Amino acid sequence: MDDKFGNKLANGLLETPDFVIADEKAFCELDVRLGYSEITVEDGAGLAGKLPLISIDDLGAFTPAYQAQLGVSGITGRALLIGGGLAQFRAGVWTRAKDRQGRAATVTAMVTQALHQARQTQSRPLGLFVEDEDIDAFTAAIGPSPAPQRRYGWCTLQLNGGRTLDEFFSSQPRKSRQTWRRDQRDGEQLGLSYETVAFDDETTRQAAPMIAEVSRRNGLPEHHQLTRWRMGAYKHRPGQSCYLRTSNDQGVVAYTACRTWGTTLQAHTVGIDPAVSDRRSVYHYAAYLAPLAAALAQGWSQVEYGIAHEQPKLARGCDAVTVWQIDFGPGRQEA
Amino acid sequence: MNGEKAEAAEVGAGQVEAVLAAEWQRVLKTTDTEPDADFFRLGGNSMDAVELMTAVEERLGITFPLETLFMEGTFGALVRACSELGATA
Repeated sequence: MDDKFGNKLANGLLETPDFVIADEKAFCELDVRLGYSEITVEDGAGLAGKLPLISIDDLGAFTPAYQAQLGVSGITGRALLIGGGLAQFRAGVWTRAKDRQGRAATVTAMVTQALHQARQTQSRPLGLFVEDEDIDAFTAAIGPSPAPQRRYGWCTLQLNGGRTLDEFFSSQPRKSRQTWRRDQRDGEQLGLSYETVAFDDETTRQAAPMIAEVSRRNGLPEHHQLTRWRMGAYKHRPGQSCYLRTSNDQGVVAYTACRTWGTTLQAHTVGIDPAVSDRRSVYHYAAYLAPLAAALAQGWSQVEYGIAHEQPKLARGCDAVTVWQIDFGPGRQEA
Repeated sequence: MNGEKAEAAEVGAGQVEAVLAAEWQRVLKTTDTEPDADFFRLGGNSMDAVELMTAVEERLGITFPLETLFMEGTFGALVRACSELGATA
């Protein structure tokens, strides 16, 4: 099955880097402030590497809260984001070479080209969310530079073939098993259940105020109409989007915006009714347990929980890949 | 009859453009309302977009096409989208 961007979405045909890159492109097409392009390198065997670039006329066109989230507070003017990273808070880098040395050489060559382009366009080159395996190759493209800064751990939970919560819990180390069982027990005591519903405009209208409220609590104040637009845009990005709608006996208390692609379920954003009691347990249910249960029921291989709240995710057995920021600085020369 | 309808539609479109121009100028502190004037290049950010949206919705009674602002960004595109919404409101 292909999506509207021509990406292979089923049966794991689309590798993670391909999906991240396709998502980056779609994300930019939905926002006039973002210009998308790619650096590609070829060798005798064909395409050897692909690196997204996002050009931004003025970083000041973002709100202060979003600038802070991106780690670019205080930086204004034209910028070139090497590797992208705005769609998923991780850079998309694809190389044909899978061995460490071959990948590093390809990445360094592409970043060197990108730095040259940044200099030509008088843009500030930034690598915002470079994954751990590529950060050395990014820094190798320049001379002496400020040290990269650790930003987040990108968290993924491997499901190991279980099809039910009990099967999955049994496969986990003791501590994460206890944490998951507590989430499950708390959810049962609160009478919580979830259902998968369509990612349509009406559901987005209902979910947006709850999502905006969670964003505000996380230090990212956002008008609910902007949230509504952002979630509407999410629907148009690659993958199959849906909401997990969590209810108790009083009605709907949470929404979890999700997307599936290949054999991955990505838990993107959570919204919680600000009036609900025992908010913490509802959050754990909607943010962690419901996506896990949905993924297990569909036989997916992993759940991507993404950035933020890293410790609770690690406590539930997630693997975290560190993403780094590197500010190549204004006018910096490539090596 | 057809002439009356055409005249009403024309007045409606004119009102849409006038309201949009006034709010665009107020929010962005600019006089530039050329069709290719770009909201973000004129210094607007997403909070300004919400301010523009709220004002236009209050005055015109339409659901502001926020996606047009983010995907196209120009005054002309906004006028076109809001006029279409106003015609069906």
